[in-house]
Order: sequence, then C-alpha cells, then structure tokens
Amino acid sequence: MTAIDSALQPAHGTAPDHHAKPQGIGRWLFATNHKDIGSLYLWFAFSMFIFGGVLALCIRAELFRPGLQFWQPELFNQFTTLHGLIMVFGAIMPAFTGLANWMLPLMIGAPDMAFARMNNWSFWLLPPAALLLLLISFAVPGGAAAAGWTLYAPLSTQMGMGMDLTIFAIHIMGVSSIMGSINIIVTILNLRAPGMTMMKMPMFAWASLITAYLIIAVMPVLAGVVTMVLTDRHFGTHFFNAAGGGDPVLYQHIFWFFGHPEVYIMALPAFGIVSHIIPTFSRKPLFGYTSMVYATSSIAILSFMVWAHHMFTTGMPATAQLFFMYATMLIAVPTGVKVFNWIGTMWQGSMSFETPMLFAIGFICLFTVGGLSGVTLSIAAIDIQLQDTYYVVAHFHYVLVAGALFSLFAAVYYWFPKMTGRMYSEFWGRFHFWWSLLWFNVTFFPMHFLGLAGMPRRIPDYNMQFTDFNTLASVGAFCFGLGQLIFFANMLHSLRHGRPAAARPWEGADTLEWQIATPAPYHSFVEAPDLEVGENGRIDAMHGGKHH
Amino acid sequence: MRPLRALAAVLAAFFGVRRGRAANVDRQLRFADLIAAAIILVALFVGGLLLLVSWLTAP
Repeated sequence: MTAIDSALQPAHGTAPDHHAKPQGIGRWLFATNHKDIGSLYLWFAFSMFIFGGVLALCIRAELFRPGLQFWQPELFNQFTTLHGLIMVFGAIMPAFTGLANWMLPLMIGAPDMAFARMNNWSFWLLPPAALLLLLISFAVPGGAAAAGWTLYAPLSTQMGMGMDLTIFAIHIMGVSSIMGSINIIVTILNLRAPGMTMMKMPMFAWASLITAYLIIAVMPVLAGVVTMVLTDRHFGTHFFNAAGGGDPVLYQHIFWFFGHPEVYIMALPAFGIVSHIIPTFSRKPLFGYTSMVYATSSIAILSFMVWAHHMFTTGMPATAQLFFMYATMLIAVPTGVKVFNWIGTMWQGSMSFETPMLFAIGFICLFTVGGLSGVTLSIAAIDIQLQDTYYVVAHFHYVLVAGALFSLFAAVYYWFPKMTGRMYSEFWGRFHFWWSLLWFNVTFFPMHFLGLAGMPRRIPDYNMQFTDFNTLASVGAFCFGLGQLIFFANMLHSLRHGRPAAARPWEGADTLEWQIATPAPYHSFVEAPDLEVGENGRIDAMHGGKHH
Repeated sequence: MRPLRALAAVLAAFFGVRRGRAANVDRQLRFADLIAAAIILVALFVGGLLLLVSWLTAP
C-alpha cells in the first residue's frame, strides 16, 4: 500500500459522513481540514500583525519628537521587545505555516496534511502563547519582558515575572513550530501525487521543506537557551552569570545560532512564493529552476555558519571576525543567483502588473536593498561602528517587512481567489501596494541616515539633531499602518461581495492548485491524480483525482 | 565515479547554480553519497576559511 493509499483509508470507527463539512464553532476548534487550519493560521497571524503594528506605532509616537512624551523608558522597552517577538513568532512564522497548510496539499496533490490532528494542536497552541505575551505579561508586576526580542543575559536574568511568561510563551510557540514543520516535511516527502517528483516540485514546496528542516534544527536551540535563562533566574545555576563562573556572551552565541537561521526561516518561504508569482505574471517558466533549488539549499546550509556576525562587538579575536565576515559575504552569492533568476524570468516575458505581481516586484527591489545593507553590515570594521544603531533597524526591516510581509501580501492576493472563490478589488489591491511602498520607504529609509549619524536603537529619547528624520519616520509609520486597514477592508468586502473567480483567474498560472475548481473543494484530492509535471510544479496533464 | 559526481553536485549547490542536464544526472545519485559529500565539503569549507583567516591574521 502506498503512502497515498494509506492516507486515503478512513480512520477506524469513522462515520460514513466523516467527509461532511463541519459547522459552527466546532469546525474551528476541532479542525483537521488543512484549509480550515490554514485559514485559522492566517487570521491569527493577521491579528498578531495588527497587535505588533500597534506596538510599533506606540514606539513611533514616542519617537516623533525628542523628550519623553507618552511612555516611561521601561514601558518603551517592553514595547520594542514585544513588537519584535510578536512580529517574528506571532505574525510572520504562523502566516507562512498557514499558507503552507492551505496550499501545499493542493500544490502536490495530497488529500490533507499528513498528521491532521497534530496540525490542529500546532495551531491551537498559538493563542495561549499570544495571550501570555500580550495580555498577561503586561499585567504582571514589573510588566512585560523588556530585554529586546533577543532577551540577552544578564538583562533577561534580572527582570520580573513577565520574562518567565515570555520564556513559557517561547516554549509553546517553539513546540507549535516544530510540530507544524514535522507535518510539512512528512506531507511533502510522503504524500505527493504520482508524477510529482522532488525535482519537479513547486518552489514553494521546496522552500517550505527546507524551512521546516531549519525550524526543527534551531527551535530546540532557542528552547534550550531560554531554559538556561529560566534556571539561572530560579534554580541557582550560573550559565550566564560571570560572578558564578558563567558567561553572558555564551547566551549570545547560543541565541544567534538559532537567530540567524531564523532570518532564513522568515525569508525562504518568501522566495518560494515569489518564484510562482513572477513566472505567472511574466507568462514564462521560472528561469533556472534547478539553480533555485540548489541556491535555497545553499542558503540554508550557510545560514548555520554565520551566527557570530551579530556579535562583532563582543570582543572576538580577529580570526573569528574574519571567518564570520567571509562566511556572511558568501551568502550573497546564492541570494544573488535567486535575484538574477527572477529578473531572468521577467526578461522578455509578457508581463502584466496585477497586485500580486506588484508586491512580488516590490519584494525583489526592497529585499535587494536590505540584502545590500546586510553585506555592508557583514564587514566587521563597519559593523563595529553601526552595531545597535538605527542602520541595523533599517536593514532588518527592509529584509522582513519588504521581504516577508510584501511576499505574504503577494501570496494572499495571488491565492485569494482559490481560497475564497471570489476576486479581490484590484483597484484597492494596487492602491494598497503603492501606498505601502511609499510609506514603507518614508518610514525606514531615513533610519539608514539616523544609524549612520549614530542614533542608537531601543531608546525612547534622542538628541535634537535626529529630530527631522525621526519625525518623518513616525509620519511614514502611521500612514503605513493606515494602509493595512485598506487591505483588511478589501479582504473583508471581497469575501462577501467580490465577483466570482474563475478556476484559473491568472492566465499564466500552471501549478496543480489551479487545475481544480474555485473555491478549492473542502476535501480536495481524496483520490490522488496521475500527473505529468514539468519543472516548478507545472502541470502538463492531469488524470483522475477526486474531490468532494 | 559516483562519489565524484556527488562532490560536484554539492559543490554546485554551494554556488547555487547547476545546469539542467547535470541536475538530471544528479537525480540518480544515492542519498548516502550526497550526505557524505556534503559533510566532507562543509568540513573543507570551514577548514579552508579558518586557514585563510589564520594566514591573514598571522603576525
């Protein structure tokens, strides 16, 4: 019996109406359908994006003018910490897992995710963790964690119980991510339809697979280091306490061994998404598919060898600084290969500029800016000057907002018709893109100048000479935030009133999810199709395959 | 020859570029060969970088 056959066998004791669509709150609480769980992930991620965004606006409101306006420094530090943690663990990572849940089975011809009940648990662990971080930790004595999202010791070994809640939340979210990753790996390796071989698989599947391996490799490292903080705080250990023979720099090494691959956990799925949208709207196959697969693997492997470039100012020997500097610069090679391949795909293509394509092109342009400032920061001599300045803030927001967030918007607009059966408003989609592009740059580009001029990050007050660019950045941030409400309104309105979508609304879309009805049937591919597949999951012919 | 092909495939993956024709040949490689080649080449890569930076920083 093949893996697909066994996956299609009904569970023991299953009622004949097992495949009926459940109704009411139970549909979501006990969800095992990959589409329902994918939707839960996406809505959760969006709500966390709004919470994290409100915290960002609290930060920018304080920084509109020099001096203390609204918040005491301790609360300001809590905002910066929670903004980072929520955006990374609550918004970006769950959003990519949600998309993987929704689209992977449809793209590879699987009936569902491999472990449907574990999938439910993966999701439902997230809301309690978010509650711990957001509501409860702000309410406890001493407030929320205020050590920055990196939770560096010795700050993290000294704070109130908000830090304990944060550590607990990180453990829960880590378990959730690992279970989600196991599901993704097993689904891709075992549940592909006949004909969907590994080296023909869609790039989004490749990116999700490699990302899942990265998560399984590094989330336990994060869990380990925050547990060490916990035992230092409460159980008399001295891992990070110099007075007891420990070393706070050890924390940084372990954290960044997790932290740098984490950057790619948030970037690789974005690469996968863009590798579908660019070919679709260029009406050409992806240029250099094999190279894209190899480059993704290469980036993943190299990401384990560069962690200490975050720590050049800790007093490393010059030999170590050079090692990490060269290794970091080498990552630019496979990343550059990808950017060239996307441009090669667009070259002489019959391009059109619907909203997903706009966000994908915006991603390429702005992610390249973030990549270039990354290469600048990889030079140890420069990094020592720029460490902990707003230059770093500008760099990673170009990577994560323009990289991860823009690709997520691109993905939601691209797959919205398949998910809902309705088209979104193209006018408001394009408006959302141009609005976001403008105000994103107004917010974050001046931060390069602030950093070069020496403004440190994570401060509620600053010297007078930084006022103009900070005011500009704050205006940009509020406008950028307002633009996301346009996205929300467009999605809500289109869900009910959008015009019905065709099965294949995008002319150039040729992967498996576009070969089935729109909206995707609740139980798709309950019988696996026989496929003739080209590179990047292009479907040349499909035989069989049942849905209900 | 197979171990050499595995080395070539992993080296291509380091760079991130591979001809489609060569990739078709790679599909016939054994997984164990690829893992062994990857471990050897990663060790050589790290060792090479260490040698380079030691030489550069030698007094």
